[in-house]
Amino acid sequence: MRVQNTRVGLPRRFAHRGGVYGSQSELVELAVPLIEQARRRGHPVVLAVATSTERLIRDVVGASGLERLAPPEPELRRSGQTVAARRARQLRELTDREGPIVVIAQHDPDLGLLDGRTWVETDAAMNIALTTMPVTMTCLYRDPLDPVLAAAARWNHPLWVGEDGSVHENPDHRDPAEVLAACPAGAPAPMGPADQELTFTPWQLTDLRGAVGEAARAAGLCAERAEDFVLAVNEVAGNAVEHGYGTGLLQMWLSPRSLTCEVHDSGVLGNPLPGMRLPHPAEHRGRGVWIARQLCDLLHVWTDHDGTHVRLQTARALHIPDPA
Amino acid sequence: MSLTKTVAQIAPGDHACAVVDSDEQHWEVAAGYVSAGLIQREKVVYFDGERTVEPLLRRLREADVDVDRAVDTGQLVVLPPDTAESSRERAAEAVRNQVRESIEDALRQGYHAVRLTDEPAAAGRSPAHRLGELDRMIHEVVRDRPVTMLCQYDRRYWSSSDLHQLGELHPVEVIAPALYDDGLLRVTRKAPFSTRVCGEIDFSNRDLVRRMIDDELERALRATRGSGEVAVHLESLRFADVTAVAEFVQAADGFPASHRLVLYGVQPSVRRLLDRCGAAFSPQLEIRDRPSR
Repeated sequence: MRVQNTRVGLPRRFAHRGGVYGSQSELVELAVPLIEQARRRGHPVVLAVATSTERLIRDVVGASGLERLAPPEPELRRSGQTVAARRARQLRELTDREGPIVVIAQHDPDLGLLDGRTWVETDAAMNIALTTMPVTMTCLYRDPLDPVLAAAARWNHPLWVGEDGSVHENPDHRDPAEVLAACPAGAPAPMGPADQELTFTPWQLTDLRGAVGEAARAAGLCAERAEDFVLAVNEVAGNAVEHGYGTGLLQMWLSPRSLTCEVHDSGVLGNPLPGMRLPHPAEHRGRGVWIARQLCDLLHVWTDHDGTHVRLQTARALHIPDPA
Repeated sequence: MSLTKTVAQIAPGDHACAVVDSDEQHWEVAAGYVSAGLIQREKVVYFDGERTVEPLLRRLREADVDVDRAVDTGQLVVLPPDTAESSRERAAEAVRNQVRESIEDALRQGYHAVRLTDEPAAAGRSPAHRLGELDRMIHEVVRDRPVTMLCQYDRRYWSSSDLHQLGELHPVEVIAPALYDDGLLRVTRKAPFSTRVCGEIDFSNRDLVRRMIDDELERALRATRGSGEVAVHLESLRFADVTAVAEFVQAADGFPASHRLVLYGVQPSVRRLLDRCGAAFSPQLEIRDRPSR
């Protein structure tokens, strides 16, 4: 995987808008003017909505200039930060190619994609990950909302779309760190007893890399993906011994679909979502976890009273039996 | 009293010893010794004792040695661990015969000289006096023959008095000085303003990298003559973490316009990371293939 880097410091360009809708026809009524306005400006529109909503929108405005973001894979749906990192990567490819874009996202609990808490985490993470990208994203929530989700939706969006489609500054908007302090990222689904465990100090990171490299080879990853995954785990483990208390614990699981590592330390995390945004070149630190997020299929950070925990996952290549 | 030489200075007829402090140093000495023999068209016999020979073969490949060809043509012979292991336990007479046969075979095959070496001997497997006995017997075999022999001892496993005793048996002592060696990372000087970095850089030792580059720049700036190039050879750098690689880029960014940081022989994994850390946007950083030998 090749990760492109930009060394140009960009101003804040991400416009994150929230709004509510009562029925699907109301949602379409809110979305259509946004799409028409984008088209007039020559900006592509990306839809992250239910298939039935997309069909209704296409019936009204046609399919021209409409792109679609596929829903997150089931294994990512409990990690809002991973969904946001993935979305940021997809949108960056698009903005690099097309310039400014408009995104319309639909939140409907009945779709069963992201639960309320994960949606809040995704939106807060988007505010960090997309900061410098020329993206105008409107997230439309189906009313009535769960009270906590309703409050968090207003915290996460600096701009709010009224019922008549007008856009206003949102006085309830809060910084992502504040949102995540109130609604912290949760622990992912437990994996059961680990296949392998290893405690490590800074001087044993080489043993940790050896163990992860061996597991990556056993998982059948190609050399490049194995090296990338070892690098990702090393970055997280290096942070664990630097910001923890000098020791960390690595756990590994090999399943038919993926290789999973967790790194645990007893330290306290200063930044609730590290590595969501590429640091400015002048910033000497903070690049490791950003790169690790680009190299993994899932990287989820959470904290609890025991300390800081990170799960990293990479998919195994599917074995296609030789027809001969 | 031994004569000290570098690996490059060892010549046919030398019976040398090297005391190594780390695996990286062993691979450096052994790879230098083996590749010099291959270049000089000598037969090289490597007794692969307690460890695996693979890291040495990797190190030779990193130094651009065509290992596969040398093995295929029989110029490089690696005696597998069980052979070497059992030979240690056999009577000294049998070992002497084995060495003698290896030498006679090589000369019959038309090689003008033979190089012998093995893995660093660790204490505990053979006591110093037994190794000493063996060494004296082998010395008798190789004396007055076109044979070079290098015995390696790992300092971590021997007492000073044992090392002194073993060193006395060798007319030549090989020295391989390092600017830095912590067992994981080894930095040596190749030439003025040119260093070689081998091993792995991570949280435990990465502060050194920036310091080393800064020191080299300082020396280069004070030198009246020079190309303005601070060279770092990374052929044997097998791992570097993000901060270490970012340090290379940031160090180059801080160079004056008259100087540049040139990285040679960068491994693909480190190269990808350099790209991710914005190396392409640093005008004072150059990444080149290894210089021609």
